[in-house]
Amino acid sequence: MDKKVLWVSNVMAKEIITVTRGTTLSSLLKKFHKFHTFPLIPVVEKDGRLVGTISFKEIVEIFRTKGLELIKGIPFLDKDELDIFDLDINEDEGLLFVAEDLMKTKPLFLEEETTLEDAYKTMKINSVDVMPVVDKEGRITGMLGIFDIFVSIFKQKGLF
Amino acid sequence: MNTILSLGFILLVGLLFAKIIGKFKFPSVTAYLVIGIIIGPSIFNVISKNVTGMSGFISTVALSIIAFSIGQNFSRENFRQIGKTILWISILEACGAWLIVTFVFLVILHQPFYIAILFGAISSATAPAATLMVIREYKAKGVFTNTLLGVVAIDDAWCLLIFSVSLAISKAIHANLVAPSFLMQAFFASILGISGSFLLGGITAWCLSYLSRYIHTPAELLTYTLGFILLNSGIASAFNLSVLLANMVMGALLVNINKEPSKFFDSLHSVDSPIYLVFFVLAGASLEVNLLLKLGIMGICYVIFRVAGKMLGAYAGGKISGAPMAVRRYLGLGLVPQAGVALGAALVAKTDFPAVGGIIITTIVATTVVYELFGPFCTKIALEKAGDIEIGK
Repeated sequence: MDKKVLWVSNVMAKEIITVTRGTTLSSLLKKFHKFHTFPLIPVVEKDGRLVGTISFKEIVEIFRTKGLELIKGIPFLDKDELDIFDLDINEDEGLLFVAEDLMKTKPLFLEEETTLEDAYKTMKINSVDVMPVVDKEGRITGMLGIFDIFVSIFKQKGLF
Repeated sequence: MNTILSLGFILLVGLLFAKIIGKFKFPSVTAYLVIGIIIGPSIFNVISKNVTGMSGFISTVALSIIAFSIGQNFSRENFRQIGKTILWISILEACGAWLIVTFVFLVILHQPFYIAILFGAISSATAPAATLMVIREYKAKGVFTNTLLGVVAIDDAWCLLIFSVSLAISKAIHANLVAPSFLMQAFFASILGISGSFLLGGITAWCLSYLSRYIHTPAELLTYTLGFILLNSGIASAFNLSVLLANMVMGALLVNINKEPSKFFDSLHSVDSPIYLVFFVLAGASLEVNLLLKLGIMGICYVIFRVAGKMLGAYAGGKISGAPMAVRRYLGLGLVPQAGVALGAALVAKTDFPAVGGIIITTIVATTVVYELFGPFCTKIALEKAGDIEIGK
């Protein structure tokens, strides 16, 4: 039986919310606080090029130590549990921190012309369940989650 | 105690002791070292000779993983982020300690050059984990803290580079001591060793990146990454190249050529903790208590002049890059802790120069314990002086 190849661009969510480098932490939280779980936030340039991503982890880490990206290569760091009730936060920091301070600067992403099978493998090996999708120029065009992949496969199998 | 029982004992006692001294705000590394000294041949001698005999093998595996992980600091994004102040200070404080300690060991302590340069190179390392612990404990914030963090993050990479070059020079000089034209031979031998390590690291990084398209699960990825690290180390050893440099180059190149490099480094986190624990305990067990008494002036000189070199180098780096006065004055003091990379380098030196290895490892283990106990206190003073934490907090 001929199996139709599924592409990322066919399945991804095209209505996406992005922020720019200069978006403050405060407005970022306002924008996303109604979500059930904190999403992966793409940070883009004015022309839509993807420059970073922000997850809940990056937001929390900024209050522990500046420069999470810098210290990731440090070996035998004591893997202490993060106590979110003991974070050193003052209200000014909502305006002082901007997306550029928080974001992961080498974000994982998928290209539109990737098969769904390859996208699934990439997500699995990187242990992530959502990734931004970009076009050939690196501009963001959508977001793809593991659930989107499952749904499209179920749909193809005629489950609904 | 048989080998398996010794390893189980080391893992559990190390973990327990780390938890206990963690309550007193000391890093786990200190706990592993001290427990190693206590259970090692010099004091209670409770671990199997087979296990202590494995310390060379375990330290090579641990150092290969450490060097590979440190290589990821050389990403383009990292260099863009750290800026010229951190770059200048980190290079000059590492070189400052290297040059001053080498000079003191050569001129004041009358040690042969091939030994002096090794002590100098080892002294360039710091202990990022201990520094970060102090920063987190006192919730330090500010320009000084950010600079200190950037410097310790990249410093061990410079140390590995300096140590690899020094070791190549040291080996070449030692091997050619009797030859009439030994300087030229030593120079070419060290250049060959260093460029060979770069070439090997480059080739394995490319293969690791290219072939990773056939790897589909996290379990496969761990096996694959670890396999490449061991392959790289094995080839480097077989051709008498630098295991440290070859692995650091592999990590550095991988982070710049692969689209998703983090997955390789992250995959190692599931196995590295017990390897590091055994590595540190065995490093502690290598301390020879009878040599400790002979250390005297050598140990004191190492402790004092390493700090002097770091302070002078940090001051010079701060001045060149136009850093604030507090950064120039106190950053060196924040770099006093010394730990893993220095111990690893000392173990490598011990393997390559067995005749003087005992005194090198004993000096470094003993001074590491001193630095790990008093270093965090110096870092705290530096943070206070710079105004990044409240005095007496």
